[in-house]
Amino acid sequence: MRNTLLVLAMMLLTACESTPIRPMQGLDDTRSLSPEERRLWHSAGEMDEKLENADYLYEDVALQAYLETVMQRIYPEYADSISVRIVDSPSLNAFALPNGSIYINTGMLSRLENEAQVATVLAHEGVHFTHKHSLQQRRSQKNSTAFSTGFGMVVGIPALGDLIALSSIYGFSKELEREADAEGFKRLQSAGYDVSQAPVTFEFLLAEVEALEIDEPYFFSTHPGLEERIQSFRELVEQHDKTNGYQGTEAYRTQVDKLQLELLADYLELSQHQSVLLILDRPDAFNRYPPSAWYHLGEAYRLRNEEGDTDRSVSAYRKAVQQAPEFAPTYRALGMYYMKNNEPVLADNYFNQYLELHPDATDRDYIEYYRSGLKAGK
Amino acid sequence: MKLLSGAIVLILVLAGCATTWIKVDDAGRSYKNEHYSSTLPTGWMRLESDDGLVLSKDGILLQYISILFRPHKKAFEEIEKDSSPAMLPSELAELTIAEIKAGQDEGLPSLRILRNEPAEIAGHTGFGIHLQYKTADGLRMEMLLRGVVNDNGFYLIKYSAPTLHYFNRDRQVYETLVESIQL
Repeated sequence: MRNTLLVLAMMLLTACESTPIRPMQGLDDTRSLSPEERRLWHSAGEMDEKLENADYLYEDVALQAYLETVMQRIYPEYADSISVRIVDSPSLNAFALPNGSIYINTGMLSRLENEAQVATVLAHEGVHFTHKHSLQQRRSQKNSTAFSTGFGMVVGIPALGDLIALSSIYGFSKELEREADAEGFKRLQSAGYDVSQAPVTFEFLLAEVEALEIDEPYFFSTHPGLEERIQSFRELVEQHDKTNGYQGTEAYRTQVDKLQLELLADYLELSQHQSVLLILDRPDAFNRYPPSAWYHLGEAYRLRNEEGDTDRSVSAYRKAVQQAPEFAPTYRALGMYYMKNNEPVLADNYFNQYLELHPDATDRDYIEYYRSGLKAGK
Repeated sequence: MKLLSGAIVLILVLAGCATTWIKVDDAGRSYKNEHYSSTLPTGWMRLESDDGLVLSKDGILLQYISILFRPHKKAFEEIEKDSSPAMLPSELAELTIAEIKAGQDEGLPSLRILRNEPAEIAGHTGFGIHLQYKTADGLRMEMLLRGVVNDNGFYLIKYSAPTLHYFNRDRQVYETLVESIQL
């Protein structure tokens, strides 16, 4: 008897879950959720909490408000339902949760060049929400195992790095990603953005992926190949009037200037010198970055440590000293260089300048230790 | 391969078949292998793996000390960097932090460096790092790291415990163990 009831219950559930899923028609649809959707939203809410509790979010009120404004321009009718949060991670990633929480990584934001490009990413992720892609994926027979495993782990596992990875890796099927591209493109156009920037966003990111010789990052991991997506966007652009769209280059740069500099330091802290070289080792780089970034370029050469890189790094440090003489870390880098090259007077001089400019340096003890060694002739 | 992170230790524990937890008693306090020797804390449990030794008193989720040795060519596998005998203490510390961050399972980006300074280990000058991070459940953890290189390779001695109750309680055990290490 008990088994019979169980079978009946399962049949009812199966029948219920075969009901076609239609995209949301407006804000009212977010207030009348099915029990199945409520469970998904609840799980998503738990993930929101975990990301916040574990300090995974990047705190920049102005930048977040700016991104919310962009999102509201693309999805005006969902202003109360969709939220944009920034994940403090240098990887190129963005993802959407079923409850309308859209996350975009600092790494992704730092690489994009204008508002139309970030709008392309947000428009795409917004479609995952409005078209209930999580629910569709959940019901998809083909992917049900992968999804349930992935999402179950998302809300249960302790490591948030894995958590974020899973939310993307077990994201959406190619069909749903294509739908998100196409519908997102329509939103972009309706919002008055320069749609020619849509393929540029992916061209730019493809160049990054190729230069770094990495596997496609999470944002693209289950997406159609980047090249295929670029082609698809180009065709969409050809079909639509692309004149007079808003690019928002200055507006975007004003918002991400600070973030871009922080990301350079983050990449160096992760020993990801390739990313810094990709960003700075190009003729127009210093149109976008301040002169102190010469120091970051020098550090990237030092970390890469290929033939000729020592000379390149010293040359970059010297440019930093000339053009940004108040930027302390350059003096430490030159001190280290001269100490290794047995030039104790020069080394000590640079170390001294470093500590004078940055008396509260967290690595002061190292510098004092090196200086005492230099004085002792070690 | 991460620097004996919590996840790796957990795998070691769950694997179980190849290794065994042994309680350190008075007779087993003196520990020696081909790379180093040390005096282990009595009453703690120890577990040996291919490249390290793990110690815990109440369970690795509550506290553990690990001693890791890596040949120079395998020192920082996550970021694909070698160590070398000539490496400066701050350079070694820089790569160790990069390795931990690249592993991510210690809580990037909540990881904060509280102290990073030169430190003596068995008569060699290396680095000492004190850091904190938060787990996915918001639990604040702290970690102490001492690292040094010699001609043979890279040594890392690590202590990790929740800030609440455990970290300060067992910190001295770690300091005593570090002082006992001979390379």
